[in-house]
Amino acid sequence: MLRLAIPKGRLLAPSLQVLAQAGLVLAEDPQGSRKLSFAGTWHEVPVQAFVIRAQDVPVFVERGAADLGIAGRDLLAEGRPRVFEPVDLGIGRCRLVVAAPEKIAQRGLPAPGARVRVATKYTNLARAWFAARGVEAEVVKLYGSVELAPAVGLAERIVDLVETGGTLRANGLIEEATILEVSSRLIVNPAAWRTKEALVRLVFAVQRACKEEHA
Amino acid sequence: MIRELAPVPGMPEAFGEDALRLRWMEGRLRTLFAARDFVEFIPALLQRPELVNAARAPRLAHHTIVFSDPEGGGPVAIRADFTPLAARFVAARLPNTQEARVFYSGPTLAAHPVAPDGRREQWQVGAERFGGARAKADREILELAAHALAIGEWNEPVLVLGHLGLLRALVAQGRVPFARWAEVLQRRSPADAAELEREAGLPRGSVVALLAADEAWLAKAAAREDALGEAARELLARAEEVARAVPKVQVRVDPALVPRFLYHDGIVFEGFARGFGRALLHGGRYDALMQALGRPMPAVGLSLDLWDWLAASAEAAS
Repeated sequence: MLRLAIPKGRLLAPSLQVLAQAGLVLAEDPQGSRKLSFAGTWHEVPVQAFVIRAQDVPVFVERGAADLGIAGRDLLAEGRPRVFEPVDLGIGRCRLVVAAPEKIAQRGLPAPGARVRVATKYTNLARAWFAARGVEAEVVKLYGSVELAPAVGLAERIVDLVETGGTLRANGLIEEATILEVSSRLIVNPAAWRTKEALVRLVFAVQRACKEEHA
Repeated sequence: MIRELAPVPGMPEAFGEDALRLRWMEGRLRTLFAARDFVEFIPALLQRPELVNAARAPRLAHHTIVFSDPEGGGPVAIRADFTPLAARFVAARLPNTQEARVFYSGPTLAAHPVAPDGRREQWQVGAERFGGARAKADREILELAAHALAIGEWNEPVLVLGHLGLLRALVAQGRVPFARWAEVLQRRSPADAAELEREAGLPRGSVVALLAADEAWLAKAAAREDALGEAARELLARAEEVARAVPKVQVRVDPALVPRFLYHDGIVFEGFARGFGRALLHGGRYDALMQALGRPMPAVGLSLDLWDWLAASAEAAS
């Protein structure tokens, strides 16, 4: 039995597509369903697929509740779970950026020795990025609507994911720097990798499917 | 719950059946080690922080709690890992001994969680072999590791062998510190390894190949007359020997295996059991640590966390 953790939301459809290309067959389509667990097979190997919040996928895989999952590079870099990341799937592409209102952005990025207030849900990555530039970041942790923070005086800058930049522009923010190019990765529990041969074969099948897709 | 009764986060407690099981497993391991002439070593709870620095293992330093001794002893560190303590003991207290076998059992405390459940305390049990011919000592410790895995109550134990000499040989000419390579290899990310190859100025694919390396890659590497070839030959030979000696444990080679703490410099290994989500046993060779302690002699050992063994037994039983 192989257990897969698949993220809900915008990554669900492309994740299902890449797994289907690798040969995964689920008994029913998780899209539009309220169920969280779906039975299936991969080349006669029984599979249980869990459809869960994207943030929970690394937790499931690190703790061995799932053998394999799909998670964004942003979550992996922020949380540093002890998992393998053998395949970059090339789906869910976006960027983690620093953005600020135009007036602040015009002055340029803060100089070494400066102190800034930053709103983000990526507290570790934000702190590390500013620290590497000699800037002390006071980080305000938010779980959503981060773009609102400069307008209400919570922070001067934000660190957030950007796909097209539309939400930033709509809220009067300008992109100042890219911290991380993000795409989704196949992640694997290291112990399962060593003890389940079917899992290794599935990972290679996904790798092949990705190569064919991008060829 | 009032604060006085609340447990400290990350500190486990056992009672009744669980306590019995822990003691039973500890007893089995002690018997195993003692039967092979390993002598018990009971180290101090505190150590000098300089010992951790000598190990040159950034992750071990990150996990070590250091504070100022109220008795005026200067900075002291709470043990986060037994191996440097055993190494220090042999270097300082057994200066004329050419060969020593020691084992230990006791708690260690880390500054940060060492397990996904947030646990910071480990009940570390292990065995260290100092001196003697390297190949023979490696074989002895690997067989001991395989026998230890076999006494656990879980299904299909697997012992995975690697060799740090492979990675060291591949990245020796690069401009990136070894610790950064180790971090990328621990995540098995070909995308990040390719990025690091560019940064290090190494030929494209030279390190990425290690992530996908199989026995055919290893056989090809073993034919080379350089450091890479030497590491590959040593790895293949030890894997074959331990597989033959302990057939009830499955033995696999993984050329990209990188240990938790980077004081190792030769053969490294980890033990697993089907159905349990993390390694049950770690170990490897650490001659460089002995050298750093001023006592150049071969050293190799293994260690495990009994709390993980308890969790793995419960998992297997369920």
